[in-house]
Formats: sequence, structure tokens, C-alpha cells
Amino acid sequence: MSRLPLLIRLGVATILVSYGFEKIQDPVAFLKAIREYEMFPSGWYGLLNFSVSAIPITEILAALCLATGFLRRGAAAVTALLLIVFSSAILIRSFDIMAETGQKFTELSFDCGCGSGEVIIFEKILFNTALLIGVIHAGFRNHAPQLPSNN
Amino acid sequence: MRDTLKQALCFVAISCGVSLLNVLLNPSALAINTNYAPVASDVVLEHEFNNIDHQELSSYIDILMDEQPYVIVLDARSKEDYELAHIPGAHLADHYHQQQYVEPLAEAIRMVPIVVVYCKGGDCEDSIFLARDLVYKHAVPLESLYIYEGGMNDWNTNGSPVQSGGVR
Repeated sequence: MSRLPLLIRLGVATILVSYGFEKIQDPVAFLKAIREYEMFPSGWYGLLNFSVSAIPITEILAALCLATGFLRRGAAAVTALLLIVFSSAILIRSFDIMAETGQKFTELSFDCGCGSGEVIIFEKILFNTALLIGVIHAGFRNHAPQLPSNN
Repeated sequence: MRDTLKQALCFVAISCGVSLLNVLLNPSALAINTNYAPVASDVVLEHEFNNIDHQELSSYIDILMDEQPYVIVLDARSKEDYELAHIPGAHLADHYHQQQYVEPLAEAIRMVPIVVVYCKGGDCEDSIFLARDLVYKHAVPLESLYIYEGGMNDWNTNGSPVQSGGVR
């Protein structure tokens, strides 16, 4: 049972590293996926292109920080923020597609640019929620051994 | 809380620094100062170029390898897709790595009366983006540019011959 926090940290780190490497290997696919969200105004292509480079690197660095403990809380905070922003963007795009096509949320699938190809969005949102809990646990749970109190 | 914020800022600074190094040193990374999609994706499929269909493109196949070509065919897909299978005689012209693949061809492209650009087909926009860059960045005359909208999917569906490997 005492190994569970360590397993959660390593599990979250492994997932983040795999996502990061998949995106870094095919930046064009990631750019196309991100473009679908229309998060940036059309003139802001520099920021869009930089995000394509920065997001996977942030994921890989966050994985390293969570696994080693270096800047653990900061890395967890940034990763949690990214997860919230992207999950919200996925939800907004899902609602747009549902309004256009009349598809049910549970049946909806597309490439969300998350680094895992086309996925069922309902499952992806559940997975992201679990990952968010894992990141918060890995980043903010006190891992240091507690000294016995003298009182 | 304040310590977490400090750590987060430090982490973001390191991430940005490493990302900039990636952009500068990694040849497969995308350039920051290039607009890869000059038009919103919902209007891009309505383009200003001539269209060419499978039948007409097939009729040019025999002359694509000529020393002084009358037609140049450009494959706007990635190097990996091109190497797997492309229209025989087509040149690799990866839209996302134009400095590497398109600029060396630019002069030859300007000289020929017919330039055909294709990508995957379907909702693929890269052939249109490349054609726009050819006009606005490389001074290729608009009237010489043709889009093969069916792309590689249509070429394969029609059972036409393909070539694999080697960048031309």
C-alpha cells in the first residue's frame, strides 16, 4: 500500500512521456490537430507554432520532474493547468460537432491532438480526469517521511 | 502557494528555453515565423486554382521524367508518406519543410506551364497551402497551378501505378 504514491507518480510520468514523444515525432500532425480547436487568432501563427514545440517538451519535462521530485509542485501545477485547458477545448469542440452532426457524446470520436490518434471523446475526458487527479496527487501529496513528534 | 507559483514559473521558463532550442536545432521542428495555414480551415477547400482530374493527370505520366519537363507534379505530403508511395515522377515538396524541398525546385517550377500539386486527398489542405505559397512566396504564376483534389487516395482508388522510395 505504501508503494502506491510512487506507482502513481511513475504511472503519470510514463503517460506524459509517451504523449510528449508521440507529438514531438510528428509535429505536423500535432499542428493540424491543434489548429482544429481554433484557439489562436489567425495572425498568431508564431504562438501556435511555438506551442507545437513547447507542449510536448513541457509534458516530457513534467514527467521528469514528477519522477525525480525536482520542481515537482510547479511541474504538477503547470501540467494540471494544461490538462484543464485542453480538456475544456476538447469539450467545446465536441459540443460544436454534436450540434452540427447530431451525434451522441458517448459515440463521438476524433483525433484530439492528445498524442494517441483518434479516440472516443467520452473515454478521453474520463481518462484526462483520472490523469488530472494523478498529477495533483503526484505533485502535491507530501512524499517526505514525517518525523515523529516529540510532544 | 507562493513556493508552488515560483516553481511553476521556473518550470515554464525551463520549458520555454528547451522548446526554443528544439525549434533552433531540430531540423524536423516547425519554424516559428512561418504561417503554415494562411486561411481558416473552413474556407480553405474553396480555392482559386485550376483543378485537374485523375484522367488528365494520368495522361501526363509519360512526360514527367523528361529533362525539359512540360509538367511538374509536386507532392505536398511528408517525406515519409512520399517515400511510401507517390505518383511516378512527382517531386517531394513537403509543405511544412519548404526550405528543404521546395526552394531548390522554385526556379524550375516557375519555368513550366503546368504545375500540379497534390496531397492525401479528401479534407487534406496541404496542396492548397503549398500552391498559395508558390504564388505568393515563390512568384509562380497562378494560371500555371493545378490542384489534384483527389490526391493520393483517388490515385490509389483508380489503381494507377505508384513509385516508392527516393526523394526526387
